[in-house]
Amino acid sequence: MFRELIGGLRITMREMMTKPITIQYPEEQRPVPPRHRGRHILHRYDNGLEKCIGCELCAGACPVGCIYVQAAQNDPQHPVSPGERYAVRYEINLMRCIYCGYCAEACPTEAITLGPRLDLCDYKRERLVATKDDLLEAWPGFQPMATGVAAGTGAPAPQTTPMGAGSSHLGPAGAAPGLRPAIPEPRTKGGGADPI
Amino acid sequence: MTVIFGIAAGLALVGALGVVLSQRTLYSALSLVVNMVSLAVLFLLLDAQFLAAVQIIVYAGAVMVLFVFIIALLSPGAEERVHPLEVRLLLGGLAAVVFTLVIGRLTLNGITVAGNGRLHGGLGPFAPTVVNAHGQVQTLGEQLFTTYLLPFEVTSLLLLVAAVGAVYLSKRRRPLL
Amino acid sequence: MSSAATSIVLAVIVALVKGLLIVIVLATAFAYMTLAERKISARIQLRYGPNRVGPFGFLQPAADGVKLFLKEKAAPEGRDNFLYLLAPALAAAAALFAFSVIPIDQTICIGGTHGAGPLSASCPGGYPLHWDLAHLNIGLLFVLGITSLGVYSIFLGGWASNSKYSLLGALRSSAQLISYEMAVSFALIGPVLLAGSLNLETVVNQQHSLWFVFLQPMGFLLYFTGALAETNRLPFDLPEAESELVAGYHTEYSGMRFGLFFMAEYINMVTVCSIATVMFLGGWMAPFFFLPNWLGPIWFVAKVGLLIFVMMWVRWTFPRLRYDRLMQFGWKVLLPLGLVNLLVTSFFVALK
Repeated sequence: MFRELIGGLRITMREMMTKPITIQYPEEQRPVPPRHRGRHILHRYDNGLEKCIGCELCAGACPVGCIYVQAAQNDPQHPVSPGERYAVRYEINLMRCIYCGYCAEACPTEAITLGPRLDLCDYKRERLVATKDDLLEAWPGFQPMATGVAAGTGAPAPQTTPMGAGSSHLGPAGAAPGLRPAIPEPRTKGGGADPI
Repeated sequence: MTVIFGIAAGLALVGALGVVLSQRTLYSALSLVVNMVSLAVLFLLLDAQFLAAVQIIVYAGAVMVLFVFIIALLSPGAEERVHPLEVRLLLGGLAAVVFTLVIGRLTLNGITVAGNGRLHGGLGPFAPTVVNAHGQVQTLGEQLFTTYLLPFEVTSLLLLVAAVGAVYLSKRRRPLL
Repeated sequence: MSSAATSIVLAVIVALVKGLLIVIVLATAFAYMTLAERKISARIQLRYGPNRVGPFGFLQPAADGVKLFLKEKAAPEGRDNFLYLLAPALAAAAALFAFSVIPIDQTICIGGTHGAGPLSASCPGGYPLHWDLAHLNIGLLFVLGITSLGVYSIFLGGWASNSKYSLLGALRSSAQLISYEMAVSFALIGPVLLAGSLNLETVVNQQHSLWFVFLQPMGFLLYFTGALAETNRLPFDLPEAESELVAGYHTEYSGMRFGLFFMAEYINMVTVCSIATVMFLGGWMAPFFFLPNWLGPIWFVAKVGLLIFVMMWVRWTFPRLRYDRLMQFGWKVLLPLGLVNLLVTSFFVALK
């Protein structure tokens, strides 16, 4: 009987000497698998035009109903998307989304995909409703549309609001996800800081 | 010393009154525990440290725990009053008077009043000075195993009988298939 | 002031200072024992423990304390309020009280000559500074008595909660405690026979040539096992196992009331480990003869710390004992072994 007791204690002592296998999140993070479904990204073509044509198929496919799309006609002089329409408001309620990927499967232009970003938490519910400028992918020369503290970092490099950093899921460590104005007003797309 | 005696004696009285006057049975048992702990303090004041410790370990720490167990588990209801109040008062008062007389007589045995008015007790063979010089545990042990050997062994046998009886009485009687 | 009055005032002041020190040290020790438990259990389970709140989690106990103080005090309806509030207070009080006779170092003689050789604690002509709060000649019995009184707190806590789980847990726990008290007492009689006194300082002084753990290995193991059961630690913690009884007798307590029960359990651990150190491991004596003996308190704390570490190590290694087997183990294994130990020891002591 004593041999088993001492044997058990030896095992535990050996485990105490072993280096723990914990990763100190959020300083260290594991890379996510390539097909990981995290926060959504709205893509663009290489010439800067948005892929989204405002067809609202994603909103229809969504089993939860967390996508809101408001489409408008493309201005021929300043087209936003290569088509007749574009999405003027595109909002996803990240609290309702179940990250199933049906919207990505439904999109005819592969405009919406689910990216690798998984650290989606905030202290206020309003900040977890992602709007278009959060979701839109960065593009060289792109000027951030949103006003607010985080948007204006002053860096010429593509840096949207912290929630909209589409290229890398590792935002600045510990950056507050979205010091944005509370609930944005519907934005008119004509003029202003147009990506083109 | 007198202050401590006053506090301990007062607590003992409060405990004793609590035993008799409590509405709830569990509170009576707990008042008895308070009484016993105060008695242990009184033993300490009389320089009987071993006895005080044993009082707490055995009486307050084992016997009363079992009492409290039983009371809490079986939740006895209100007592049945068999005799009318006057009879009980009379008999109780009588018993109290007799008891006080006996204890008083025993206490006053051998107490003399010295010249300065202080009370002196008689010093027997087991006065505190003698016992403490020899060692309290040693004295108790020697007396238990020499002078009082027969009562000691008989008491142990009695406890054994009680334990065996309790085990037997609490066994489930299994019908023979 | 007459010298009698001065000595009384001096004694009271010294006692107050020592008492305050004991309470502060034990409360801090309790706080950091919770942290130690979490870190040790984490290391055994291949993870880090709390390491966010301060460097290596040093402020975690403070955070836990603040949390316990600010928690909502949810109490069950139909409870017996007086006993419900008394139980944790009694538990903590008994735990702290039991520590008051444990000597951390040898008596220092201030002025006067140290009595009869270095092993004596008397100090004719001077003032003996004892390192325990109450220098009792029956020190060991005092500790056993106070831990017996601690059983009440568990029982009353469970009963006053007006809840099935609490009552069952309290019953099991109290029965377990009074059963293992026997085994613990028998195990402790061995060193008492070897030392010839119940005074804890005398017991330590008598170990100056050889610690009693080498003369009484089975006694030490018996005592340690009984101590694990006395403090409701695994493998004897069925009364408070989460999967069995929610949390046993402290199910219905929240906030600092639970904190007091928790504190009582950990301080009981410190007390039983201190008793083991004093009775078996030579108290404040250095392990090897060439090491300095004047670091008494440091050696004492180190030994107690080692025993506490072993208690935690054992907790995260062994599975729990089922309750009926736990009782059988206490009565049918530990008690007979204790009697055998007593017989053999008294035989050898009588022959000496």
